[in-house]
Amino acid sequence: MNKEAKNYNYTMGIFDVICRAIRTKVKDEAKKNEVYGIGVYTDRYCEEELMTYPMKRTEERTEIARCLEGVDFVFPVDTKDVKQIEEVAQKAYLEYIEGKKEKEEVKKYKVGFVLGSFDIFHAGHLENLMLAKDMCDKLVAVVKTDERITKNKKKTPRQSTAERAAVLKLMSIIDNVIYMDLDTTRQDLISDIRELYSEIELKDIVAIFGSDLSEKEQPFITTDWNGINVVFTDRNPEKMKVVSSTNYQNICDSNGGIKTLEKVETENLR
Amino acid sequence: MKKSKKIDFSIGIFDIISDSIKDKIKREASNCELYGLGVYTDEIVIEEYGTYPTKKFEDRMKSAKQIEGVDFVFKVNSTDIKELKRIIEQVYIKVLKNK
Repeated sequence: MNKEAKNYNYTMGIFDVICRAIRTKVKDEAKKNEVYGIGVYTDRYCEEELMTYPMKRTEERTEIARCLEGVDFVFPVDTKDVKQIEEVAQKAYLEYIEGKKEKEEVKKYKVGFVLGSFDIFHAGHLENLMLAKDMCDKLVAVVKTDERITKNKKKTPRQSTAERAAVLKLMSIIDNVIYMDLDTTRQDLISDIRELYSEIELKDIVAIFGSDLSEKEQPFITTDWNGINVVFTDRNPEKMKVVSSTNYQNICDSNGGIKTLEKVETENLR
Repeated sequence: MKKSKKIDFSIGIFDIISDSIKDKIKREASNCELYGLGVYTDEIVIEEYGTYPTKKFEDRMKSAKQIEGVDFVFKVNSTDIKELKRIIEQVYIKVLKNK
Protein backbone atom coordinates (compact mmCIF):
# COMPACT_ATOMS: atom_id res chain seq x y z
CA MET A 1 0.00 0.00 0.00
CA ASN A 2 1.46 3.34 -1.01
CA LYS A 3 0.70 6.71 0.49
CA GLU A 4 1.52 9.92 -1.27
CA ALA A 5 3.19 12.55 0.86
CA LYS A 6 4.90 15.83 0.16
CA ASN A 7 8.59 14.93 -0.05
CA TYR A 8 8.60 11.20 0.44
CA ASN A 9 6.64 8.05 -0.10
CA TYR A 10 6.45 4.71 1.64
CA THR A 11 5.26 1.13 1.47
CA MET A 12 4.08 -1.02 4.34
CA GLY A 13 4.54 -4.71 4.87
CA ILE A 14 5.63 -7.60 7.07
CA PHE A 15 9.09 -8.29 5.58
CA ASP A 16 9.79 -11.54 7.39
CA VAL A 17 10.24 -13.78 4.36
CA ILE A 18 11.18 -11.70 1.35
CA CYS A 19 11.38 -12.77 -2.27
CA ARG A 20 12.54 -11.31 -5.58
CA ALA A 21 9.11 -9.83 -6.34
CA ILE A 22 9.07 -7.95 -3.02
CA ARG A 23 12.62 -6.65 -3.53
CA THR A 24 11.85 -5.58 -7.08
CA LYS A 25 8.69 -3.79 -6.03
CA VAL A 26 10.48 -1.87 -3.30
CA LYS A 27 13.38 -1.01 -5.61
CA ASP A 28 11.05 0.21 -8.38
CA GLU A 29 8.97 2.29 -5.99
CA ALA A 30 12.11 3.76 -4.42
CA LYS A 31 13.36 4.86 -7.85
CA LYS A 32 10.21 6.91 -8.34
CA ASN A 33 10.76 8.84 -5.12
CA GLU A 34 13.50 11.08 -3.82
CA VAL A 35 13.17 9.66 -0.33
CA TYR A 36 11.56 6.31 0.29
CA GLY A 37 10.56 4.56 3.50
CA ILE A 38 9.09 1.30 4.68
CA GLY A 39 6.51 0.82 7.40
CA VAL A 40 6.93 -2.52 9.14
CA TYR A 41 3.84 -4.04 10.72
CA THR A 42 4.46 -4.86 14.38
CA ASP A 43 4.14 -8.41 15.69
CA ARG A 44 0.88 -7.44 17.38
CA TYR A 45 -0.55 -5.96 14.18
CA CYS A 46 0.42 -9.04 12.15
CA GLU A 47 -1.41 -11.32 14.54
CA GLU A 48 -4.44 -9.21 15.32
CA GLU A 49 -5.07 -7.46 12.03
CA LEU A 50 -3.40 -9.56 9.34
CA MET A 51 -4.10 -12.91 11.01
CA THR A 52 -0.66 -14.36 10.60
CA TYR A 53 2.15 -14.99 13.04
CA PRO A 54 5.32 -13.44 11.58
CA MET A 55 8.32 -15.72 11.09
CA LYS A 56 10.66 -13.12 12.62
CA ARG A 57 10.27 -10.50 15.35
CA THR A 58 9.59 -6.82 14.55
CA GLU A 59 13.21 -5.78 15.27
CA GLU A 60 14.65 -8.30 12.83
CA ARG A 61 12.04 -7.55 10.17
CA THR A 62 12.78 -3.84 10.55
CA GLU A 63 16.47 -4.50 9.87
CA ILE A 64 15.60 -6.62 6.81
CA ALA A 65 13.44 -3.75 5.47
CA ARG A 66 16.11 -1.15 6.24
CA CYS A 67 18.65 -3.07 4.15
CA LEU A 68 16.42 -3.41 1.06
CA GLU A 69 17.79 -1.54 -1.94
CA GLY A 70 16.47 2.02 -2.19
CA VAL A 71 15.10 2.24 1.35
CA ASP A 72 16.03 5.41 3.23
CA PHE A 73 14.06 5.06 6.45
CA VAL A 74 11.88 2.57 8.32
CA PHE A 75 9.15 2.93 10.92
CA PRO A 76 6.79 0.64 12.85
CA VAL A 77 3.12 0.34 11.90
CA ASP A 78 0.86 -0.69 14.77
CA THR A 79 -2.46 0.79 13.69
CA LYS A 80 -4.95 0.96 10.84
CA ASP A 81 -5.44 4.67 11.45
CA VAL A 82 -4.05 6.45 8.40
CA LYS A 83 -3.48 9.70 10.32
CA GLN A 84 -1.43 7.96 12.98
CA ILE A 85 0.59 6.08 10.36
CA GLU A 86 1.30 9.37 8.57
CA GLU A 87 2.52 10.90 11.85
CA VAL A 88 4.95 8.05 12.55
CA ALA A 89 6.17 8.05 8.94
CA GLN A 90 6.69 11.82 9.01
CA LYS A 91 8.70 11.54 12.25
CA ALA A 92 10.92 8.79 10.77
CA TYR A 93 11.36 10.84 7.59
CA LEU A 94 12.45 13.94 9.55
CA GLU A 95 14.89 11.86 11.62
CA TYR A 96 16.36 10.49 8.40
CA ILE A 97 16.77 14.00 6.95
CA GLU A 98 18.36 15.22 10.19
CA GLY A 99 20.78 12.27 10.25
CA LYS A 100 21.68 12.86 6.61
CA LYS A 101 22.46 16.50 7.34
CA GLU A 102 24.69 15.52 10.25
CA LYS A 103 26.56 13.03 8.08
CA GLU A 104 27.09 15.63 5.39
CA GLU A 105 28.57 18.03 7.93
CA VAL A 106 32.33 18.05 8.35
CA LYS A 107 33.42 15.05 10.39
CA LYS A 108 34.95 15.78 13.78
CA TYR A 109 38.26 13.97 13.15
CA LYS A 110 40.36 13.47 10.04
CA VAL A 111 41.48 9.94 10.83
CA GLY A 112 40.02 7.41 13.22
CA PHE A 113 41.08 3.90 14.03
CA VAL A 114 39.43 0.89 15.62
CA LEU A 115 41.73 -1.64 17.20
CA GLY A 116 40.73 -5.24 17.64
CA SER A 117 41.06 -8.94 16.92
CA PHE A 118 37.86 -9.08 14.81
CA ASP A 119 37.89 -12.82 15.41
CA ILE A 120 34.66 -14.13 13.81
CA PHE A 121 33.34 -10.80 12.51
CA HIS A 122 29.83 -10.08 13.84
CA ALA A 123 27.08 -7.44 13.93
CA GLY A 124 28.61 -5.79 17.03
CA HIS A 125 31.90 -5.20 15.20
CA LEU A 126 29.95 -3.70 12.30
CA GLU A 127 27.90 -1.40 14.55
CA ASN A 128 31.08 -0.15 16.22
CA LEU A 129 32.79 0.47 12.87
CA MET A 130 29.77 2.35 11.53
CA LEU A 131 29.64 4.57 14.61
CA ALA A 132 33.38 5.14 14.18
CA LYS A 133 32.97 6.09 10.53
CA ASP A 134 30.47 8.79 11.52
CA MET A 135 33.23 10.52 13.48
CA CYS A 136 36.06 10.60 10.96
CA ASP A 137 36.85 11.18 7.30
CA LYS A 138 39.15 8.17 7.05
CA LEU A 139 38.72 5.00 9.05
CA VAL A 140 41.54 2.58 9.72
CA ALA A 141 40.98 -0.93 11.08
CA VAL A 142 43.90 -2.13 13.16
CA VAL A 143 44.07 -5.93 13.28
CA LYS A 144 45.99 -7.70 16.02
CA THR A 145 48.06 -10.52 14.53
CA ASP A 146 47.73 -14.14 15.65
CA GLU A 147 51.05 -13.98 17.49
CA ARG A 148 50.09 -10.83 19.38
CA ILE A 149 46.77 -12.34 20.48
CA THR A 150 48.47 -15.58 21.52
CA LYS A 151 51.14 -13.72 23.47
CA ASN A 152 48.89 -11.17 25.23
CA LYS A 153 45.66 -13.06 25.69
CA LYS A 154 47.12 -16.55 25.97
CA LYS A 155 44.60 -17.84 23.44
CA THR A 156 44.55 -18.67 19.76
CA PRO A 157 42.19 -16.79 17.46
CA ARG A 158 39.59 -18.91 15.62
CA GLN A 159 40.40 -17.21 12.33
CA SER A 160 43.88 -16.45 11.08
CA THR A 161 45.39 -12.96 10.74
CA ALA A 162 44.89 -13.11 6.98
CA GLU A 163 41.25 -14.17 7.22
CA ARG A 164 40.43 -11.50 9.79
CA ALA A 165 42.15 -8.76 7.80
CA ALA A 166 40.60 -9.85 4.48
CA VAL A 167 37.05 -9.37 5.79
CA LEU A 168 37.85 -5.81 6.88
CA LYS A 169 39.77 -4.96 3.73
CA LEU A 170 36.68 -5.59 1.60
CA MET A 171 34.43 -3.32 3.65
CA SER A 172 33.58 -0.04 1.95
CA ILE A 173 33.52 2.00 5.17
CA ILE A 174 37.13 1.06 5.94
CA ASP A 175 39.81 3.05 4.15
CA ASN A 176 42.85 1.13 5.39
CA VAL A 177 43.71 -2.02 7.29
CA ILE A 178 46.97 -2.24 9.20
CA TYR A 179 48.40 -4.84 11.54
CA MET A 180 49.35 -4.51 15.15
CA ASP A 181 51.92 -7.26 15.42
CA LEU A 182 54.02 -8.83 18.12
CA ASP A 183 56.26 -5.86 18.91
CA THR A 184 54.11 -2.89 17.78
CA THR A 185 53.61 -0.43 20.62
CA ARG A 186 50.75 2.03 20.76
CA GLN A 187 53.21 4.82 19.90
CA ASP A 188 54.34 2.78 16.86
CA LEU A 189 50.73 2.43 15.83
CA ILE A 190 50.22 6.20 15.88
CA SER A 191 53.40 6.59 13.78
CA ASP A 192 52.10 4.00 11.30
CA ILE A 193 48.85 5.92 10.93
CA ARG A 194 50.67 9.23 10.50
CA GLU A 195 52.74 7.62 7.77
CA LEU A 196 49.55 6.63 5.98
CA TYR A 197 48.18 10.16 6.20
CA SER A 198 51.24 12.35 6.27
CA GLU A 199 49.40 15.67 6.47
CA ILE A 200 47.62 14.92 9.76
CA GLU A 201 48.52 16.11 13.24
CA LEU A 202 48.00 14.22 16.49
CA LYS A 203 44.89 16.27 17.28
CA ASP A 204 43.31 15.04 14.02
CA ILE A 205 43.53 11.38 15.07
CA VAL A 206 41.00 9.52 17.18
CA ALA A 207 41.21 6.07 18.73
CA ILE A 208 37.72 4.58 18.87
CA PHE A 209 36.79 1.86 21.35
CA GLY A 210 33.57 0.14 22.28
CA SER A 211 32.10 1.40 25.54
CA ASP A 212 32.83 -2.01 27.13
CA LEU A 213 36.52 -1.06 27.06
CA SER A 214 36.00 2.32 28.73
CA GLU A 215 37.20 1.25 32.18
CA LYS A 216 40.17 -0.71 30.83
CA GLU A 217 41.39 2.05 28.49
CA GLN A 218 40.86 5.08 30.74
CA PRO A 219 44.30 4.84 32.44
CA PHE A 220 46.07 4.80 29.05
CA ILE A 221 44.43 7.93 27.62
CA THR A 222 47.11 10.28 28.93
CA THR A 223 50.00 7.81 28.76
CA ASP A 224 49.95 5.45 25.77
CA TRP A 225 47.52 7.50 23.70
CA ASN A 226 49.10 10.78 24.65
CA GLY A 227 48.27 13.49 22.16
CA ILE A 228 45.52 11.81 20.20
CA ASN A 229 41.81 11.74 20.98
CA VAL A 230 40.18 8.71 22.57
CA VAL A 231 36.44 8.13 22.16
CA PHE A 232 34.15 5.33 23.34
CA THR A 233 31.18 4.49 21.13
CA ASP A 234 27.76 4.53 22.71
CA ARG A 235 26.17 1.13 22.21
CA ASN A 236 23.39 -0.75 23.96
CA PRO A 237 25.10 -2.65 26.85
CA GLU A 238 22.47 -5.42 26.88
CA LYS A 239 22.89 -6.01 23.16
CA MET A 240 26.68 -5.95 23.56
CA LYS A 241 26.48 -8.78 26.08
CA VAL A 242 24.63 -10.97 23.58
CA VAL A 243 26.31 -9.95 20.31
CA SER A 244 29.85 -10.45 21.56
CA SER A 245 32.99 -12.16 20.29
CA THR A 246 33.15 -14.27 23.45
CA ASN A 247 29.64 -15.63 22.81
CA TYR A 248 30.31 -16.44 19.16
CA GLN A 249 33.68 -17.97 19.96
CA ASN A 250 32.07 -20.15 22.62
CA ILE A 251 29.36 -21.29 20.19
CA CYS A 252 32.07 -22.07 17.65
CA ASP A 253 34.21 -23.97 20.18
CA SER A 254 31.26 -25.95 21.51
CA ASN A 255 30.79 -27.34 17.99
CA GLY A 256 34.39 -28.46 17.69
CA GLY A 257 35.86 -25.24 16.30
CA ILE A 258 35.96 -23.71 12.83
CA LYS A 259 38.38 -26.27 11.37
CA THR A 260 36.02 -29.11 12.35
CA LEU A 261 33.05 -27.28 10.83
CA GLU A 262 34.98 -26.65 7.61
CA LYS A 263 35.93 -30.34 7.50
CA VAL A 264 32.29 -31.41 7.96
CA GLU A 265 31.13 -29.03 5.24
CA THR A 266 33.81 -30.19 2.81
CA GLU A 267 33.00 -33.84 3.48
CA ASN A 268 29.32 -33.18 2.87
CA LEU A 269 30.15 -31.73 -0.53
CA ARG A 270 31.83 -34.94 -1.66
CA MET B 1 -28.29 -18.06 23.58
CA LYS B 2 -29.21 -15.79 20.72
CA LYS B 3 -26.23 -14.70 18.66
CA SER B 4 -25.82 -10.95 18.21
CA LYS B 5 -25.08 -11.21 14.47
CA LYS B 6 -26.41 -13.37 11.71
CA ILE B 7 -23.19 -13.43 9.69
CA ASP B 8 -19.73 -11.90 10.00
CA PHE B 9 -16.19 -12.33 8.71
CA SER B 10 -12.50 -11.40 9.04
CA ILE B 11 -9.82 -11.20 6.36
CA GLY B 12 -6.21 -12.18 6.77
CA ILE B 13 -3.17 -14.07 5.56
CA PHE B 14 -3.42 -17.23 7.74
CA ASP B 15 0.07 -18.45 6.96
CA ILE B 16 1.19 -19.29 10.48
CA ILE B 17 -1.74 -19.41 12.87
CA SER B 18 -0.91 -18.83 16.52
CA ASP B 19 -3.09 -19.60 19.53
CA SER B 20 -3.94 -15.92 19.95
CA ILE B 21 -5.20 -15.77 16.35
CA LYS B 22 -7.33 -18.88 16.98
CA ASP B 23 -8.68 -17.37 20.23
CA LYS B 24 -9.59 -14.12 18.52
CA ILE B 25 -11.44 -15.95 15.76
CA LYS B 26 -13.22 -18.18 18.24
CA ARG B 27 -14.34 -15.12 20.20
CA GLU B 28 -15.60 -13.33 17.12
CA ALA B 29 -17.28 -16.45 15.78
CA SER B 30 -19.15 -17.00 19.04
CA ASN B 31 -21.04 -13.74 18.47
CA CYS B 32 -22.60 -14.76 15.18
CA GLU B 33 -24.55 -17.58 13.62
CA LEU B 34 -22.27 -17.85 10.62
CA TYR B 35 -18.64 -16.83 10.64
CA GLY B 36 -16.23 -16.80 7.71
CA LEU B 37 -12.62 -16.02 6.93
CA GLY B 38 -11.37 -14.30 3.80
CA VAL B 39 -7.92 -15.51 2.77
CA TYR B 40 -5.64 -13.28 0.72
CA THR B 41 -4.20 -14.88 -2.43
CA ASP B 42 -0.43 -15.42 -2.70
CA GLU B 43 -0.20 -12.47 -5.12
CA ILE B 44 -1.90 -10.08 -2.69
CA VAL B 45 0.24 -11.30 0.22
CA ILE B 46 3.45 -10.69 -1.73
CA GLU B 47 2.38 -7.49 -3.48
CA GLU B 48 0.50 -5.75 -0.67
CA TYR B 49 1.87 -7.21 2.54
CA GLY B 50 5.55 -7.64 1.73
CA THR B 51 5.91 -11.25 2.79
CA TYR B 52 6.35 -14.52 0.92
CA PRO B 53 3.83 -16.98 2.37
CA THR B 54 5.39 -20.21 3.59
CA LYS B 55 2.16 -22.06 2.68
CA LYS B 56 0.43 -21.88 -0.68
CA PHE B 57 -3.01 -20.26 -0.95
CA GLU B 58 -4.91 -23.58 -1.02
CA ASP B 59 -3.19 -24.75 2.17
CA ARG B 60 -3.85 -21.44 3.90
CA MET B 61 -7.54 -21.77 2.94
CA LYS B 62 -7.56 -25.29 4.48
CA SER B 63 -5.85 -24.07 7.68
CA ALA B 64 -8.34 -21.20 8.03
CA LYS B 65 -11.31 -23.53 7.53
CA GLN B 66 -10.05 -25.83 10.30
CA ILE B 67 -10.07 -23.09 12.95
CA GLU B 68 -12.78 -23.63 15.57
CA GLY B 69 -15.89 -21.57 14.89
CA VAL B 70 -15.22 -21.02 11.19
CA ASP B 71 -18.15 -21.96 8.94
CA PHE B 72 -16.89 -20.82 5.56
CA VAL B 73 -13.77 -19.47 3.87
CA PHE B 74 -13.41 -17.39 0.74
CA LYS B 75 -10.73 -16.11 -1.59
CA VAL B 76 -9.70 -12.44 -1.42
CA ASN B 77 -7.77 -11.23 -4.44
CA SER B 78 -8.02 -7.47 -3.93
CA THR B 79 -7.50 -4.82 -1.29
CA ASP B 80 -9.67 -2.29 -3.06
CA ILE B 81 -12.64 -1.42 -0.81
CA LYS B 82 -15.21 -1.45 -3.64
CA GLU B 83 -13.97 -4.81 -4.91
CA LEU B 84 -13.89 -6.20 -1.37
CA LYS B 85 -17.52 -5.19 -0.88
CA ARG B 86 -18.43 -6.98 -4.11
CA ILE B 87 -16.56 -10.15 -3.04
CA ILE B 88 -18.20 -10.20 0.38
CA GLU B 89 -21.66 -9.56 -1.05
CA GLN B 90 -21.31 -12.55 -3.36
CA VAL B 91 -19.98 -14.74 -0.56
CA TYR B 92 -22.85 -13.76 1.75
CA ILE B 93 -25.44 -14.55 -0.94
CA LYS B 94 -23.87 -17.97 -1.57
CA VAL B 95 -23.50 -18.89 2.11
CA LEU B 96 -26.97 -17.80 3.13
CA LYS B 97 -28.52 -19.58 0.14
CA ASN B 98 -26.82 -22.85 1.08
CA LYS B 99 -27.74 -22.60 4.75
